[in-house]
Amino acid sequence: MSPTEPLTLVVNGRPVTPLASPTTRLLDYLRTELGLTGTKEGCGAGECGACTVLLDGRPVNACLVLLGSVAGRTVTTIEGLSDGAGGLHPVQQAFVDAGAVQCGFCTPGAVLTAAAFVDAGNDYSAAAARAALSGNLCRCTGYAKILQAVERAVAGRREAP
Amino acid sequence: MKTPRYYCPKTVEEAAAILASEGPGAYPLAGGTDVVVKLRLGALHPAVLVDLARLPLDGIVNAGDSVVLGARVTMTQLRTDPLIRSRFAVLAEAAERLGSPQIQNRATLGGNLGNASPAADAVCALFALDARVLLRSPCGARAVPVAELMRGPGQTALAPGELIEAITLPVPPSGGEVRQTYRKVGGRNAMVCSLSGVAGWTRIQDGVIVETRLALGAVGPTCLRAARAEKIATGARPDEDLARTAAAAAAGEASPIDDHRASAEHRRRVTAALVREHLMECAR
Repeated sequence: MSPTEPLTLVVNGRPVTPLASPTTRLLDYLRTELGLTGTKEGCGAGECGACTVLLDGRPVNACLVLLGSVAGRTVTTIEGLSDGAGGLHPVQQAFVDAGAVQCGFCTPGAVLTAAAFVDAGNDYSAAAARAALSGNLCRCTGYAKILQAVERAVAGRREAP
Repeated sequence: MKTPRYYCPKTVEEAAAILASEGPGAYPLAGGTDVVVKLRLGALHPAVLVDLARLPLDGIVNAGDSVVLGARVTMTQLRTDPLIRSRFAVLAEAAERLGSPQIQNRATLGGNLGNASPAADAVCALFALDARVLLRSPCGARAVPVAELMRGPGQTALAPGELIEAITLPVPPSGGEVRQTYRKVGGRNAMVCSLSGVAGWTRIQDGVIVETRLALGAVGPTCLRAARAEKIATGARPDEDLARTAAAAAAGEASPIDDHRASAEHRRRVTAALVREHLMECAR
């Protein structure tokens, strides 16, 4: 892309043409220009996972991605995870049911990472779930209830028709 | 910070032409897992950013006597690809130990090379696999052994205007059994920069080590091969005694530093333990 070519991407199912420069971090674009403040900034260095979004369905740190790098691609933030009619994604419901939320700062990122794990059809094992969530730090819960939520969501997926 | 001019070329030729014409102020961007942090902290302030996001370099191609990896192949691809998992397991293991899944979804093999950290997990595996790196510039292409590309912390042998295009892994001769392991130790288990990492690749035939490659990461200005330890192990039967002797030799070949992550002495001991673990794996 030359500097003059317009940049478009899809955020939460909607095509968008950012005003921000392509060297803007995806995180800043989402929070500032689109007002999608569910994506949090923790460390800003790819360590904590609070800014996790799904890029073409896979979790990435939005603080490490420049806007220009994702031209033409699909981004899902926590605001776009539910069905749009107010219903929760099964992983969101599982977080509620398991009580996997305390302060909530890590929750959007943890939910998105867990949703990618569950929606990819992975079976639950504590080792696999821990590895999948190893990039989402939580200082409150001690992780046990987050893992329980993932286990519930996987079990729910099996029971679903 | 002045915002860099931004290019996102679609072809390798175009990318190399921009890097060459813009000179030392131009910096390539791959997965961004290191570069974007450095940009934000002001540790890097290029006049021009050449984003490689659109280059068609994300393939893993079986070329018969070698496997060719595009520079933009991600750690997630390396740890999940069936060919890499079966034939080049040390690279799949290193990719799996590099950062979090989020990082693995973005970090590229070319970026791990270009960033030139002595602790780079995937680079250490490439040393053990005798990989060659294909470099492209407007003047043409050249292939160099990975050990020649790495010059020091953050330093590569890339000429101005040169771009990492692909990585070639030679397919080993058939016969015998190949054992491959990547082991690393850091401050915690997940998502950590290694204080020592060892990539081991060993071919065993009739109970004897016929070839071994022991690559040591984070214990020198670049990753390095423990040539003396390799020599000791070659032709020997893998057992406890050999593992100890070769591990001691490898620790002597390491040239670690004291830093905030660990002392040099600790790094040396960990390196010996990891080399020993690899050779004990060969004894099983």
